[in-house]
Amino acid sequence: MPDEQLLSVRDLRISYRTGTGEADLVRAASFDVAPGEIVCLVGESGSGKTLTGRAILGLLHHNDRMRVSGSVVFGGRELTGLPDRSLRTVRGSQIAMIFQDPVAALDPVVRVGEQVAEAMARRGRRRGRSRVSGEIADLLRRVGITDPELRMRQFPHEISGGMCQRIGIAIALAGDPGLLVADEPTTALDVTIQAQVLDLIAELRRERGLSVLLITHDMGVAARMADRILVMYAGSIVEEAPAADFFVHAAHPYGLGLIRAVPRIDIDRPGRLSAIPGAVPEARNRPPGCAFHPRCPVRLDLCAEEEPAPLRLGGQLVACHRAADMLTGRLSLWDSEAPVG
Amino acid sequence: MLGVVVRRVAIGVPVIIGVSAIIFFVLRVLPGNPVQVITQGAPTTPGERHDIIVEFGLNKPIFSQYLSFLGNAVRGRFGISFATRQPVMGEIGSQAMATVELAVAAMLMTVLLGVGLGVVSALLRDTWVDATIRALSLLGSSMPIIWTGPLLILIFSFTLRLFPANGSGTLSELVLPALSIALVTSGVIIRLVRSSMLEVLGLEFVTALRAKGVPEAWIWLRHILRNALVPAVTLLGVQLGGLLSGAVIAETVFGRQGLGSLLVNGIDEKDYPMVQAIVLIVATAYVAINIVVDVSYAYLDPRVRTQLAR
Ligand code: SF4
Repeated sequence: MPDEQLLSVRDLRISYRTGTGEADLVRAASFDVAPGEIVCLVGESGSGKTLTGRAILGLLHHNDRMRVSGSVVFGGRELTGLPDRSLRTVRGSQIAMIFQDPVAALDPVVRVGEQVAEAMARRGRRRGRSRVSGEIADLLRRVGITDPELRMRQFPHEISGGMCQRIGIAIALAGDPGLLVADEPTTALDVTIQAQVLDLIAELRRERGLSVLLITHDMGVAARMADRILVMYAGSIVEEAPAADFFVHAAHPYGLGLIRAVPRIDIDRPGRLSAIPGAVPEARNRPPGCAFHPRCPVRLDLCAEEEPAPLRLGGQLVACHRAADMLTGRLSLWDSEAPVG
Repeated sequence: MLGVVVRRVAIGVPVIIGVSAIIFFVLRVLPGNPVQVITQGAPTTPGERHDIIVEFGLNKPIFSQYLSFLGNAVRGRFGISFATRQPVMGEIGSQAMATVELAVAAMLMTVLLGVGLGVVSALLRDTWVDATIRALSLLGSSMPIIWTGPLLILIFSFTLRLFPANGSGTLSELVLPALSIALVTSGVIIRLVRSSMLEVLGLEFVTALRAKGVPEAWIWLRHILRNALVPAVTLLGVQLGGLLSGAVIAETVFGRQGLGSLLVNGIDEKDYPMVQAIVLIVATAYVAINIVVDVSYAYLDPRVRTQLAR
């Protein structure tokens, strides 16, 4: 039912030219986002989440060393291969993006109001100056900025990070997009501000039917926001599941590991934080077979040899040789292991 | 903003006093006898020479000479030229405009060449155009005006007959001397504008601008260039010294009137008051222009403005 989807990504492949050859940063990622849906793309840093988000907007074109292939269909229109000129009509007005570091995402030497205006200026509308600044003020008020007239005249460094992220959201909304790609939008913010920004995103989804692809490494954020979860590891999507299923019974050992790694005050003692031991391999040193096998507590000999194919189990799509065992609860992870750290 | 100016002036004053001391004492250490200049080499009796020495105050202890020079200079009085027996300020006043014209023209060309070629170089990075610009900029900034001046004359006036080789007064006579200075001073600006634009190009906000659908040309001109100009302006302030000394040399090479030729003659003739006045005026101008540069720097970078406001 691809035509029901707002966004369909198929076989997205991103490779990077290095001195010695090419390294795959994202390998054959496929997923959909439905209208009004919040999909969370989770994984540790270095797994390829951010690149995936940027590739959707065609933002990797500008790096000569990156090669992107596969298909990105938005609202029935194929975006891959479009020239920059046509992509510009998509960016901002159909798909918008907000960034991890909200201050760095704004030009430090240009006033905030002008930066919002730039995002509105498209679509050939000619309006008076005061009309435009009235619209900007309304938009800023909408994202919870008090005293918008003052803010518009300020520079990014004069404004708090949380406020900058609200401005980032205002910029994203200025073109009235259907899809918002939010790349770690709260990671750089204080906990209380995090909650406010997440609430704002959820509210916009409810009001405008905005679809959101939320990229995060924070499973707390994912649990709070997601309708559906995509787990990415070493450039591959290893599990896709409705959020309700995922947080009850993640079927991929990596997905389960991520959930376990969330510190829980009730059971965790210091030094017993069950982060997954090891680190995401670099693209050039991708292990053979299942890329996760060096870190996997339940690996089989087979795992180092054969890459697991994605398997549909109920609502979940899992790429793991032991997915069935995981789901039937015959495997327990890490609990039997010695404390880490 | 006023605070910056006050602070800069507070730093500038000792600098100017230092310059005045150096030029005053160095002049008097150099070989040569000013009395001969004053008498124009005409035969004199010891009595006449003594009168002259007294008239020009050359008999007083050197420190009190220095102090009275400084005291008069503050009031804008630089004394009588040894060579012409006229007040030096009169002659400087009549020649200063020619130098100011040249310096301003050279400055404009430096900015035009530096920013223009820097932008082209960054836009066409890693192409032959970029490589050529970078090679030429390196060549230009390492060649002295004594060499590029005649070269420009050879190419543009003798061969192409586009601009006159010397003289001062008309605009077309200004082109070659200004260009010979700008070739030296724009080189580093070109390279700095290029490298800082490429640095800005890698910043996150450029991706964010693309993500909101802003046209690439606008991103480059309004955002990347604007950010890259911040360091370039600072460098321009540093280049001012080169600009002023360049003007002095270019005036001699191109046979132009101006403070440069006046200064060179003054040194030749041991005309202490003339040399002191010119050096002090140029030093003051240098400090003053640097204050202007600092203020425009703050204008370009709002972060600096905020810091200064505190
Ligand atoms: S395929 Fe094997 S190594 Fe990979 S996650 Fe599943 S059990 Fe672990």
